Amino acid sequence: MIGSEQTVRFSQLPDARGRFGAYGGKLVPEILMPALEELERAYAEARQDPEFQSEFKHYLREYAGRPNPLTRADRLSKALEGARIYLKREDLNHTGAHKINNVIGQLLLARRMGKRRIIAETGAGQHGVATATVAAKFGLECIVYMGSEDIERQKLNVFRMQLLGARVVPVETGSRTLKDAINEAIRDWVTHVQDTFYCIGSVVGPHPYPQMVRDFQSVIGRETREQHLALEGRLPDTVIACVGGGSNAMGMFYPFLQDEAVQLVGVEAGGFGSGPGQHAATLSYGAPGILHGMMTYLLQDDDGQISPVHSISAGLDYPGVGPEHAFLHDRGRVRYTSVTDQEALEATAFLSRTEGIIPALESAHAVAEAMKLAPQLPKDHSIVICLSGRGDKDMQTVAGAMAEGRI
Amino acid sequence: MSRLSTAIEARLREGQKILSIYITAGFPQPEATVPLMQAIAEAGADVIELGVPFSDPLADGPTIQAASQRALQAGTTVAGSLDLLARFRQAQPQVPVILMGYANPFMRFGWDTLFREARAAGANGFIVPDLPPEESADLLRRAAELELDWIHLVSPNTPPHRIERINRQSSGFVYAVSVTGVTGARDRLPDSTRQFLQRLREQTTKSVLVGFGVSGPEMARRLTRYCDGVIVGSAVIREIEAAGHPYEAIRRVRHFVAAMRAALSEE
Repeated sequence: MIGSEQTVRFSQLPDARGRFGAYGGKLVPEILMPALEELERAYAEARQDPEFQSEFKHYLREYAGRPNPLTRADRLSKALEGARIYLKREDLNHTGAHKINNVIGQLLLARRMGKRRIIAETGAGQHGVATATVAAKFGLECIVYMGSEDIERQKLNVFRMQLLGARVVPVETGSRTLKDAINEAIRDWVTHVQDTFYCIGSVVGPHPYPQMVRDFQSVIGRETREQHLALEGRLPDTVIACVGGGSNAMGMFYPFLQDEAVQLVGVEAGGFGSGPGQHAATLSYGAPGILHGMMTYLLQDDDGQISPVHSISAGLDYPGVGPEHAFLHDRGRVRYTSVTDQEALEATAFLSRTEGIIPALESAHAVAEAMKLAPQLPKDHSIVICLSGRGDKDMQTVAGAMAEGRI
Repeated sequence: MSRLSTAIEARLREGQKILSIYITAGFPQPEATVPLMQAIAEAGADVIELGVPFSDPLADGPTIQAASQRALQAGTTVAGSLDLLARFRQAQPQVPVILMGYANPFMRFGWDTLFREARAAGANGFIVPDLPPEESADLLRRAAELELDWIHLVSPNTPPHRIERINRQSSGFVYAVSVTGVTGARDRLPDSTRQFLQRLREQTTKSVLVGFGVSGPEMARRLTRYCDGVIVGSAVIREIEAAGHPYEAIRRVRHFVAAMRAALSEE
């Protein structure tokens, strides 16, 4: 753990070794170490460079469509008879999710480093689509690794990536989902390390990725802060976001970490049970371990083999979690909980009917938690939900659930 | 000096090159491992690397990925791998054995318990590809207390300041990765491998063994002009895969290792 626990501010991490307390680090094969050192240097420079920052802001504004609104959800709040609920509208970004914030940042960095071959992994396809989109905009080659099971679940996003000029490579190994897509992207990276930039889609992987992705995504929390201050004259009481790898949550939480009065709630995928293979709730059921270049909580068996995971939402279907979340979980700064597939489906329908907003199944997990909390809270309590993406990509899954009479 | 270093140096003093053979513990089934290790030792391997299977072997190509998967399906665990090693040791006390595996199953087992039980089972060292020197300095000190060596990997893109550290922290030998990429037998290696090995020889004081991509006797013979020995893994696994029957697998592996040994002894 870090040296003097009292004096370290949450927002000052990671340390020089890329650690958030015991978590994080650079636990990768030697082949990748020079690439990570190069990336670390390039990012440290870019982070201090006003020109890079203004370019980043330019594309967020002119291309992604930021800032997006903080929408007051009056009918949802009224129906729940409790706290006042706001929705941070990441679903309104270009490509329909928060993923593009990070991709713009990383591909600007790739361009600055002279890397013209971009690889990415994707689960639900949202990060793949965002990467294919920005790669097209910047004229870069783009290869996206995607588990064959996810390809089946998210056909529309596969088509979008192909239309955008990306090559989608099906991954047939392991559970054929996000975890395996990351394995395969890392294998590509070790093979083409000289000319390739690996654009990771979440706050996971070896240092400096968890920090870098958090920094690019923290525009979510900064805007939310300002907007909430303007609307309410104060900070929100509770902020809720879904957590798979945890990038929308980390981006939302980070600017609030020092505000102790703001309760932060991370919602994991509870699936359909608490047994192995029935959920993807890493912080609720996992134990510390090492995967994908980081020390973090993992869903694993007694022999340290990575467990199969399940979630109705492909974007949360991951047996690990960002190392900064692991740290915040241990310190108790963020409360992590989980909601089931069924609750997420019901929340999808409820938000659609009360607010005219169809959430992504991932984001619906955050909505479901808000639906549990709001009725117990007074009317002057303000809840912000990070609505990380829109639900169009999930219509096939939701239609299937409706046909089964689940909603 | 450790048993591994002693064995390597003795062979090199005889004018021989080192042949290190990798197999995955429990592949294709646990009963096969001890006889395979015996065949490998008898056919002339100087070092055996016993792979402890992991569900997500991200430095490995398709051959070793598939072998790991099969071994896990057959119920192989860290404890099970150590047990196989202990049984091999009863018959073969001499040949050094290195355990090669990813960090997570080892961490889950508990590092200090692992070192103690590995030592009791007759292991001589560790290769953990996802723990670079900065993440393993403390572990290798604890391993060294039990005379377990710790071998680090170095690759063609490793800069001089890292080679210096890897050379300093490695014991037993330094594992040179022939090309940037994952494990897997390759038909040929690029010219740059030779330049890399020549450069490495100037920058290291430890023995250098080359692995990743070494597919057969002729390639091994040419490589050992520029290094102290070779490590062969995927090509051995392919021999086992190609066999229809366990006895056939043992016969094929014995034949393959003997051919490698003969090629290295020609130089």
